[in-house]
Amino acid sequence: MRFLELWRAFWFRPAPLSRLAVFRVLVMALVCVEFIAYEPMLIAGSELAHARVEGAFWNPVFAVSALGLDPPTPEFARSVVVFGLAAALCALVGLATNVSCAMAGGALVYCAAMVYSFEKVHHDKVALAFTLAVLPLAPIGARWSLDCALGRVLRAWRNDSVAGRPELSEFARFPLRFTQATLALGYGAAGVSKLVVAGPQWANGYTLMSFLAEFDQPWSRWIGGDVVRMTVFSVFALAVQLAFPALLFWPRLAWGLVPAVVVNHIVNWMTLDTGPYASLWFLTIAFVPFERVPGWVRETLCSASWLRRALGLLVPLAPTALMTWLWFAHYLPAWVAIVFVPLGATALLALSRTTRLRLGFDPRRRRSRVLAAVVESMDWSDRFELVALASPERATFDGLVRVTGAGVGERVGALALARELPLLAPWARLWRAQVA
Amino acid sequence: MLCVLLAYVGLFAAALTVASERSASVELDARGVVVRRSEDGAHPLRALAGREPGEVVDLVRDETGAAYVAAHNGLFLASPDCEVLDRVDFDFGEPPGVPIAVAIAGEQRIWLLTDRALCAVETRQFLWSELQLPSLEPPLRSLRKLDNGPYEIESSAGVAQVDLDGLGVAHWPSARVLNGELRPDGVRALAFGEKLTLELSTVAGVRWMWREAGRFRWLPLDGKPAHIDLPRPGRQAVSVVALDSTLRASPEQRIELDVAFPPTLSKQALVGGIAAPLLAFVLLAATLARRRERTLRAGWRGLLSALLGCLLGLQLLAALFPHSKGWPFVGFTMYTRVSERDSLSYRHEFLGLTPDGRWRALTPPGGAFGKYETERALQPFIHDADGRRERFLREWNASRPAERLVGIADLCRRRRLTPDGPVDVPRIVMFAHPPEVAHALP
Repeated sequence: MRFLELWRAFWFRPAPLSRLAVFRVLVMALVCVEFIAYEPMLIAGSELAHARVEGAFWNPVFAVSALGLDPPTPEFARSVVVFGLAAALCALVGLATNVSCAMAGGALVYCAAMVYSFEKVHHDKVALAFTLAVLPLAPIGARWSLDCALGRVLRAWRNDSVAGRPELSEFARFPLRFTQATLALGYGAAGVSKLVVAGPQWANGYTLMSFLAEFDQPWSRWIGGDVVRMTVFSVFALAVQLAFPALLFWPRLAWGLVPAVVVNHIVNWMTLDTGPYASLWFLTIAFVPFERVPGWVRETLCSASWLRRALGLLVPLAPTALMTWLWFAHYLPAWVAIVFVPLGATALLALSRTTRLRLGFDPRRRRSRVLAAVVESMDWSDRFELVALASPERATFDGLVRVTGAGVGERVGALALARELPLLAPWARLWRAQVA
Repeated sequence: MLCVLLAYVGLFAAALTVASERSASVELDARGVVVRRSEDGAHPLRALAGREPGEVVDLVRDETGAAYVAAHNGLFLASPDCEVLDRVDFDFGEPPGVPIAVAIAGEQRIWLLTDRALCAVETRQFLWSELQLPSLEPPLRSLRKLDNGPYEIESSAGVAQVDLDGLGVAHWPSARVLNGELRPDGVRALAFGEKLTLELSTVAGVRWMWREAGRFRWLPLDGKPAHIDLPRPGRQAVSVVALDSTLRASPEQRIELDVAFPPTLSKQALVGGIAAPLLAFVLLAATLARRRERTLRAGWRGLLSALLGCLLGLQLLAALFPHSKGWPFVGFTMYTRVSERDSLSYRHEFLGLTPDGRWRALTPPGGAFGKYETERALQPFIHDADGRRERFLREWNASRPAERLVGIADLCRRRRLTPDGPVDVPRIVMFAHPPEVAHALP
C-alpha cells in the first residue's frame, strides 16, 4: 500500500487550480504558435505529395500507417490548421475549455504526425503531444477562463452563493506532473542513449564539434572552434541530460536544471539547424509554481541584497523577453502584442500591491451578486477579497462597496475597478452607467 | 530546334564568360609545391597536422577547378576556394602502393597510378578499383595521356599503350529480384524481416553496389544470391548499380518496396498493446478504489492512474526499444554518432547559375525543412534519376521566367575536425548541370 500512497501523492496531491490555469493558457498560446509555425510545412508536404512530383516524400509514422491515413490534400490541411487554431484560441481564453483543448490537441498531433510523415521525425513535439493528451482531463477551466466567469455570473444571477471558491484540487497536479515526467524521461533517455550507444567517448569534443561543423549558424564557429571548449560543452550537456530526472524528486533542482536545459537548446539553435525547439523546452514551465511567483518577485525585489534584486528582475523578465522575441520575430504578427498589454498590466499590478482590497457585495441583490462574480472571475492577480454584507439591518445596495478595518466604506465605481483589473477596462464605461 | 540551338549557344557563352571569372586556381609550382594562385599572388597550400603530403609528384585539375595531387603520402585534394591541401580518405580501404601519377578520366573519375597498381578512383565517394592489366608489371613508373587517346604507362615490363577509356564492359549485367510479391503498382511487397534477395548476373571486372533511396553512399552487394537487409518496415526504395573496373556505373535499377510492419506494430497489436494494459490498470484501480473508498472521485482517480501509468510505461518502452516512426512514442538515440579527430562533416549547397554568371542558393523540392531533408531531396539530382536535373531546370524556367537559370550544381562543403576547431577542406562538386557550367563554379 506504500506504493499506492506514493503514487497518489505523486499525481493527486491537491495543487492550486490557478497554477493549472496559467499552465493551460501558456500551453495553448504555444499550440497557437505551433499551428502558425507548422502550416507552411504541412501545406508544402501535402502539395508535394498530391502533385506526385519527385522530391515528394511520404514515409508515414506507424500511427498514421496503422490508422490507414493518407497524405491530406492542401485544402484539408488548411482546414485542420484553421480549426485547430480556433480551438486553441477558445481553450486559451477558456471557452468550452476542456473540449476545445482536446480538439486543439487532436488537430496539432494530426498536423505533427503528417509533417513527420513528410520528412524526418523530430522530437520537438513529443512532450507537447503527451501534455495535450492528458490536459483536457483536468479541471483546466476552473480558473482564468470564460467558462469560469460565465458559470459564476450565471450562478450569481440564479441567486447561488458567490463567495467560497475552492483554491485547490486533487486533479490539478497530474497534467503538470505528467509533463514533468515526460520531459524527465526524454532528457534522461537522451543522456543514457549517448552513454550506452556511443559510450563516454561521446564527450571527446570532436563528436559535438562534428555536429556544429555541419552548419553555418551564428555561434557555430566560435563555440565549435576549439576541442577543449567542445569537451566542456559535451560534458555539460551530458550532465544536464542525465541529471534531469532527479527534478521529479528534488524540485529545487529546477533552479539549476531548467535554465541549463534552456541554455542547451538555445546553443543548439544557434549552432545547429534544430530551430528553436521551443515546443519542448517551453514545457519546463510545468516546473514553475506560478501562484508563488508574484510573492517571490515582490519579496526578492524588496530585498536588501542587490544580487537578489537583480535575480528578482531577471527570473521573470528573461524568459518572458526570450519567448516574446522568439514568437514575434518568427511567427506572430505585431498586432497580437495588444494581448500582452492587459496581461502585462495585470502582472505589474499583481506585483505592486501587497494587501488585497476588500469589497463588499449584497447577496440579496442580483446586480451586486453578478458584479461580484464578474470581479472575482476576472481577478487573475488575486487582488480582491469579496465579502458578503448580508446582515438584515443594513440597507441594501446595488453595486460593490469598499470594506476597510473601520467598516463599510464608499461605493466602488467601475473605473476604479478597471484601474485595479485592467482586463475590465473595455467594459468600464458601459458598466459605469449600471453601477451609478 | 533553332530555339534549342540558340539556348545552347547562350548557355555556352554564359559558361565561358563566367569561366573566365574564376579568380583562383591550384597549381604545382617549379619547386614541387602546391600553390593557390589568385590576384594576390601564389600562396602555398597548407596541410593539416599529421596529414602532410610529403613529396608531391603530380597534379591534375578537372573542369570544376578541383586539383588531384599525387604525393608520396597518398592522394590529395585541393580546390580553388580553399587554402588547405587535404589527404583523401578512400572508402573501403586504400589503394596499394605509393602514388606516382594522376590523370582525369572524366565522368567524375580519375586514374591513379601508384608504384604497384593502376586504379580508377571515383571522386565523390572516393571508391577505387584496381585495373588488372597483364601488360603492366610492378613497379610502375609513369602515366601519360597521348594526343590520340590512349595512355602510355611505363612499368618494369616496359612501356605499354593502353586505351583506358575502352576498358569498360560492353554490356551491363542485370539484377533480378527473387522474392516478394510484385503488385500492379510496381511495388514489391515483402514480409517483415525478409531480406531483399537478388540474382546478380556476373561479368568479369564488374561489381555490384546498392544504396537506400535518399542516401548517397553506395554499399557493396555480394553473394549468390545477394541479400539486402532492409533498414525499416514500410514503403521504401533501394537502388542497385553495377560498376565496371573503370568505375563507370550502369543505369540505376530502382526497386520500390513495401515491407510489412512487424506483428508488434500491426493494428491489432497497437490497439491491443494499448488497450490491454489500460484495461488491467483500470481493473486494478477499480479494485483498489472499491476497497478504500467508493466515490466518483476515487473512480476518476483510478481511471486517470490507469491512463497515466499506461502512457508512461509505453514511453519507457519506446525509450528502451527506440524507433522514430513510433512517434510520439520515440526513443532518444539522436546525436549518438561518435566522431574522432580528422573526421569530416558535410554540408550541401544547391546552387543555380543565372544568365549573368552569378550563382544563387536554391532549395530542392521537398528540401525546405532542414539540412537532412535537403540532403535527402538532393539525392535524385546527385544520381540524376530520370533526368532529374534537366527536368528541374526546365520546370524552374517555365514557372519563373524572370529568374531564369542556365545551370545548377551541388557543392558539398566539407570540414575536417582538428584540435583547433573544424577546418574548411576542399569541397566536392557532386554534380554540375549541364556539365559546361562546372567551369563557372567559384
